[in-house]
Amino acid sequence: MGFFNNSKFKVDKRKEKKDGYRYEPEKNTEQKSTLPVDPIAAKEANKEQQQIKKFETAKEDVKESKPVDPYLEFQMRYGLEEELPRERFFSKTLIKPLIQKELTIILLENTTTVGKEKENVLKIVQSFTNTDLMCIINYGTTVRQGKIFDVPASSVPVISYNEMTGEKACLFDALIQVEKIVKSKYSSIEDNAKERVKINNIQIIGIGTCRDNASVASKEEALSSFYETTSKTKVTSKYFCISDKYFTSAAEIGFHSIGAISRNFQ
Amino acid sequence: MIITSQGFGHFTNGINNQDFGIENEKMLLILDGCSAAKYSDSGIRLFGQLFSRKEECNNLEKFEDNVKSVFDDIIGMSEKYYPIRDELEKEYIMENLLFTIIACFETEDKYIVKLFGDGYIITQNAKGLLSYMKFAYGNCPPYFAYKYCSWMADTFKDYHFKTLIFDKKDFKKVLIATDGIQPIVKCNMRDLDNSIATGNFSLVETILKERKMSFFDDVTIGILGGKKDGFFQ
Repeated sequence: MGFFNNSKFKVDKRKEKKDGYRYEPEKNTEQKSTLPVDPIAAKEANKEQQQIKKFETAKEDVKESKPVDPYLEFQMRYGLEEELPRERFFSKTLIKPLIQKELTIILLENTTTVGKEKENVLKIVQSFTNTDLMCIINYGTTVRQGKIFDVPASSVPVISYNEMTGEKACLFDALIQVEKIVKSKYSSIEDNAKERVKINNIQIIGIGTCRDNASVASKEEALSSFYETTSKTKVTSKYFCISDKYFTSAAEIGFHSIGAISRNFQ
Repeated sequence: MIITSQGFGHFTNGINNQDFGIENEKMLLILDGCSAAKYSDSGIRLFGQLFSRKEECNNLEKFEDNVKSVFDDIIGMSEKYYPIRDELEKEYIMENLLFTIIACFETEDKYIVKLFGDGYIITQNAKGLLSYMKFAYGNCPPYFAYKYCSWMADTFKDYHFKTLIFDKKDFKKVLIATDGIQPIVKCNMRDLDNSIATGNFSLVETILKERKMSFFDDVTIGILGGKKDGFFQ
């Protein structure tokens, strides 16, 4: 295949001249002409061949010997007398770049009340897809934390709703879970195959009614936990309430920015 | 105490500060005029002055009635100059009396905020964390004066003052503010947050003036009992 595979480049054998540019070996190979051999020239040629062979074997010997010590070369170049410990030298692998990323933690209330506003909730979650990493925590009767995943620009995170969940919401337990994530991830460096990732910016986005009626943890524990979480420099928090009648609940917890899902006067 | 600063956008366009506030021992009132209304800066100052002259103006139970009473008086006085109702509504009410009303009252154990229209309530919880509660209704927020306009009255007849109660056990501090403070919330200005949290209102005023160009709209923050020259206790 290739450039010359086109039919117009094919040689038409019928148009070729006889005895033209193409070499054709003689058909009758029985009679071979032989020249007389000069013995002295033959000896010298033999010597040359032997030397070539020696050189080739010598090359092979060199290949089979021990590899050159790179540290020795370094010492000879820089005049070091002592052998330096090998750990101080860079390995031959590439240095991985350090990339800083933002993590968005979505704290989503999984109750029937919030389920009725599914479309508005999805719009809010979509508005945060310009972040680098995302983690969704659903809280209803229990707290379910999803994996931390990369957010490609065109994707929409999947939000699952349990329609039979009722009105139980364990917000305080969810806030303690958020504190654990922030403690482990904030300013930590993760070593991946091609890069090192540092999460230096975390935003906590809550959506729901900010009520609690099912937590194991107490309100005092949750408030202390949230205070520890948001006292870090680059940790911000927002809560989107279903309506403004839940604003006071969100303010009790201490979410920095509190707004309503819709702008309708209620 | 009331801290107010003219918005940079209004400054460059030659528009007066359209925020106004009055305070006494138990009550704080902030008014934010509609930018699109020609004379809302006059309307807020007229309303504010007359309201402060009202008997028992700082009475929580009588607050909504007092507001209605002042509106009735202002519109009643103006009817002489606008005999045609349609002109009164469109040329006087719509150009002078469109403003949001935010009031904060303090009792022994609670803070109570009354709100009609858009604005912010700033709270500090028991742990010291500040929260900015945003009340926003898009480009057409509800104004109390719409109740006096025939073509708007049906739409807004069911709109009432929002009442929010903050127990002093859960909240150390409650402030009220106009929606001009939005850049503080969006840009997460930690130094302003810290100044408000510690009650250093002189520094709040200084920072607002230094960063005047960051605030397009007029900014007004009010706190009951706060002192400009000292720390809030």
